[in-house]
Amino acid sequence: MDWDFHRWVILLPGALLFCSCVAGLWWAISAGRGPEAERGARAVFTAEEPEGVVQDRFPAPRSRASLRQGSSN
Amino acid sequence: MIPFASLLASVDPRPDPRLSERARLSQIDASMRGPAVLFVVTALAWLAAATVLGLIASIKLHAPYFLSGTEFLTYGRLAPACANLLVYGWGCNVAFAVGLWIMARLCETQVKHLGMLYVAGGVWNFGVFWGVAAIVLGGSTSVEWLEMPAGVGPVLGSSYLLIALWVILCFQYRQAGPVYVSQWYLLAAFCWFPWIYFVGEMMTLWAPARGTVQALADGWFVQNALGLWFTPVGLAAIYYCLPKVLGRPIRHYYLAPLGFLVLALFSPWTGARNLIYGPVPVWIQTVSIAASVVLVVTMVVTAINFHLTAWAGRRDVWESPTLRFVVFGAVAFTLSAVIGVVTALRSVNVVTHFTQFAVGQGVNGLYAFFTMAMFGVIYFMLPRLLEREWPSRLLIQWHFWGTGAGVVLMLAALYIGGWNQGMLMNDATVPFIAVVRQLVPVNELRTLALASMAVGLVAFCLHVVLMLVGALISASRAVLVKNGILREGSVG
Repeated sequence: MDWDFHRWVILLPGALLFCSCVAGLWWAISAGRGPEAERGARAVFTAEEPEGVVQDRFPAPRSRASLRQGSSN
Repeated sequence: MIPFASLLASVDPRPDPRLSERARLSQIDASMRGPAVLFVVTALAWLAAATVLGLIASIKLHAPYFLSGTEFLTYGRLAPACANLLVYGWGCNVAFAVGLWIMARLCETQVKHLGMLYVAGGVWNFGVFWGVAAIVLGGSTSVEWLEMPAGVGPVLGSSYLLIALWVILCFQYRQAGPVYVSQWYLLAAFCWFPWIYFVGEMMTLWAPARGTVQALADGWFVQNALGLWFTPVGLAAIYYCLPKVLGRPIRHYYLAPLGFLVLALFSPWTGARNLIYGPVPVWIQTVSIAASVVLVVTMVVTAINFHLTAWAGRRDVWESPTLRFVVFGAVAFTLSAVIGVVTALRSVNVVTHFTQFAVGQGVNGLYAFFTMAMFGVIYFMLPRLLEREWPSRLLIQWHFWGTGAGVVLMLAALYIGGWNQGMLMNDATVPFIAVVRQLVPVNELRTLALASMAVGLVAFCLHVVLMLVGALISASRAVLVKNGILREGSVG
């Protein structure tokens, strides 16, 4: 089997598949499905860990006073 | 005999709907506490062992007589032992912890029958121990990433099924609402891994194929263990932690399905990428090259999603231990993907193949991307599981700078040294021994980089131990207060 055969058998269906994926995505956005997809972006937030609140910081440095208080308990 | 209905009810992982949403998230985290901590602790133990073995193996590359008095510490045994510890000991254990926890949270389901997970974890780690011990004792199969004896496969496979079952059950019983991108990646990864592992084991160990087909099968397994197991788990972790910590949704989230589908459709075809110009049919190499180039779509999509989101909250990224590691992993993924696409082209691959450059790509994918992302998730996950804060800023800094500097140095040494190696090997006037000699400083830098990563890892392991000890002390005090042995207010 030579390269001409491979080109039509492998690359052409691959290119058609890729173009259909891009066309499908274009249709989805132009048909207004974009906001629905963006709604999925907020599925990661909860009432306990809501949007707009940073959830992670370095631990606060412990002052000598707090260390002394902790050792006296 | 347990009635079928009550058996289903016992398996149903959905939390009590009468509880408020706040209680449900706590209930979910509480259900995952034991298994997640087990998998994280064992993963870190294996990573520490892999780091020690990797360091000794790296030293031997430029000081061959180092610890040369015993057969168990020869390079030919240490290097595959280190690789298998990284893949099955560290990588898989931490993937189980992170995958189960993220899936349970996103599906708003809890994990029940924890005994199954404890047994599965124990059996998995027994299999890893058996396999690596066999390698060190001389029983290696010499098949890359499948060096463990054939008998270990069924042990790992059976324990894996018990773990993956819970990922699927969580997804099956998920709460109504949109399915988040991390759930697609995790569900797909936990379904893909048994397929690629079974095919790899079957075609190389149980009923081995002959000739170059065996090399192709092994190459396909290695490439897809990275592309269809570690990559989707790592991407799922980044897609979860980045918006969660920043409090901002992923930018241009609508592109995420495209990235997922391209990865799913084209990654399995990249198996022969590391065998370009090798003794395999040219059409297979061409298919791999084409599929590798198409994966640029996933790279672009994830780069847009991750980097634009991180850039919008860049101050918060630097102030968060989780995001320092997660964003490092995201950048490494983009770099690895770009280099993967470029080096798949024949004109570039003629220089980079069969050199340290390929080793660098492996380090980039497995350590710089996946491991750093997992470190970030552990920084986010453990405080929520153990209900306490990390005790030390200093240890986090040591971990980040030690590991980050080591990884950057390692990649620079392997990429630059590998490129030089390839250029010299393509020059017929250069004797091979000269090529080997120019690799000595590369290997010395590699050892230095590993030492730096080891320092970072020691800091992290110590920090995790402090965290667990603190949690145990708090829990013990709470029990003693409840029983009236200690007075109220003395709980830490």
